[in-house]
Amino acid sequence: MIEIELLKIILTIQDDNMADDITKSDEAVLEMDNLETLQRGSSRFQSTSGDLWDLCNADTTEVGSIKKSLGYEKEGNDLTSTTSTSTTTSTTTTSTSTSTTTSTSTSTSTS
Amino acid sequence: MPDILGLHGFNRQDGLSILLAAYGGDIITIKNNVTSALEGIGFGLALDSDAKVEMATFHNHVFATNYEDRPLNFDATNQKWKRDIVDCLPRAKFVMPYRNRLYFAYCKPPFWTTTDITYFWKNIVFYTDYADLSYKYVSGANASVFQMKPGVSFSLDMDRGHSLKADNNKFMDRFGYFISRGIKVGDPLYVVNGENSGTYTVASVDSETTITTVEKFPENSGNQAWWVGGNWFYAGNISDNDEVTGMGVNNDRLLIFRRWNMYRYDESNLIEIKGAPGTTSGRSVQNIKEYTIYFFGDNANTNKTGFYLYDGIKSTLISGAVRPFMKAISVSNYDNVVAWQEGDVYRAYIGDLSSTGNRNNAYNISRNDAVFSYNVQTGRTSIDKFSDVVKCSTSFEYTANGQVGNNKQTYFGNDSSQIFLAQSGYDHDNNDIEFIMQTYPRYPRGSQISNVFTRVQIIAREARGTQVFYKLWNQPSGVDDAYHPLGEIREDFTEFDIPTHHNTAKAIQLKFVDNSTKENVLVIEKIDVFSYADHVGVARIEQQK
Repeated sequence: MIEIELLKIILTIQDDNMADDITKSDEAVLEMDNLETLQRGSSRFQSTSGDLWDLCNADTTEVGSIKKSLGYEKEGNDLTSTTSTSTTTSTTTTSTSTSTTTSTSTSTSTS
Repeated sequence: MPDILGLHGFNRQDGLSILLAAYGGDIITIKNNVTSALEGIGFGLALDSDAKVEMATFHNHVFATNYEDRPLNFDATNQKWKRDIVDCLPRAKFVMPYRNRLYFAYCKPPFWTTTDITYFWKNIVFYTDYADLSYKYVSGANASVFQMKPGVSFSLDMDRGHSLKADNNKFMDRFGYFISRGIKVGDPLYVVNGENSGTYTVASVDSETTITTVEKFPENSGNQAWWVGGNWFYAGNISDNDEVTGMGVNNDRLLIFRRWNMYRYDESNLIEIKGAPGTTSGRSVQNIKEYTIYFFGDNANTNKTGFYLYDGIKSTLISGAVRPFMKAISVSNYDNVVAWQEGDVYRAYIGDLSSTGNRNNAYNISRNDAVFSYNVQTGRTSIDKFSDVVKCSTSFEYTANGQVGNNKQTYFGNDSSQIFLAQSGYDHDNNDIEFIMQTYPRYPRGSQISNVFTRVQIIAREARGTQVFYKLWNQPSGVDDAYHPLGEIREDFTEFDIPTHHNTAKAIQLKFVDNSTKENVLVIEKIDVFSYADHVGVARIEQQK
């Protein structure tokens, strides 16, 4: 009978993160709580704190935060050419003058 | 499908409210709080089927003009379109009430068939005499009659055989209506063709058919086109090949826009606003609070392209912060920008945006059917995605008959025969509304030091399901071409771990997306990004030194 005694296995994974582990205590937080201005007219280093790179369909009324915008509701049915059923049309250009010459004025119908 | 050519919300003083849409050569009632049976029905007008129709409410009437047909006025009581309040108005592209007059700009004579519409007519503004409410006996009862004199009169045609006679200094035309149209002593009379071509001055208005001029006519001949009247002025310099592109009112002044400049007018003085560009699209002009906001597109110098805010004294560019988006507007859309308002927010359809010349996609801009939004109250801007091509807009208050409310709503018409009510519901005609928010690339330790990003905390309200992405900048030199997903916001406070296989860079950028028809309650309030300095990377740089 052969006995093999497994005494120790050492697994070493070495990469850059080893050094990172040492510095975990250095972890710092970057706060972004001033979600105000969409700014694309300057370089990224000229921007003020909290500038937004892009903002789409947002309600910007509430100061300091970003909300989604409301929607759009279709009104009635799609219009079609048959919608345009003639109901009433008007007559003509008539002068408001009392002159008798105006009664036969420039008759141009709108229909 | 055809465009909605014009839209107008008519709210009469007595509470009658009618929403009117110009479409396919007719004007159609969209909403009517008196006779709902008329909704969706047209008036049978045979107007030009392609021309934009501008409408304006003035003294409880609607006036409509489309440049190709003579202006109309709407008799809401009898549900008829007529030409009885003011006859002989010029055909015009723009109409605007100001004080007690109605103004028409970019005009051509009402009857002439000539196509010789030179810059003179493109820069002319006609105005009516003061509106007058008079009383007369109609059908056995006293009735109030609203009327205006146009202050001008035009011959019926360019050269047809009407009864013009120019005999010495007597000028006669049986279709002149010189008294009823308000021709005054001192007005200029223009004979535009024939042997008597020239400019004359009215010495006296003798009758509806005859006026006496100061100057004598050289020939006794007829069949010539003419027009007479003093109710007009040029909008600025007419020799620079510019044209009137829109009108507005601000701070009790009429605003007249041309492409390259703009004027304010107070019934006696026309003053150019120094340094202010005009507008390339009259439908971009909107008043919000004390401001007038409008669009100007400059193809040669796209840095000037954008939105301007006129405050009664000067115009200021308000879209400088989003200049890359403004430069991405297609030049073909410069004349088609259409604006509307949603509360304190000015919104304008600017069409497709395309600026994709950058090697790195992070700097490229591509957005279909974009809308520029500017909150006048907070000064905040967004560039939105839309699901329609907007052609016209109006504000309208739909009340019960006889009531006056305080709930003006905004409507717009698109290029597909449809009308929409703004700020209603949580979808866009059953399409998702895509909310996108991207932060700036943020450098926690400046641009020199690389960071190992560990986690992101989001504080938000009602944002469950909102997707969060990140992008790394300068890792050490490149920028992620695409965003990497972090996950969905689950609670008021949500934390994401940044994957260790892709977490080292000088800067990080975050993106939030909600593409849904859910109620618009999501609010992003605070974002915390955790990182520590990449000391190995720093040491490597030190070694390289």
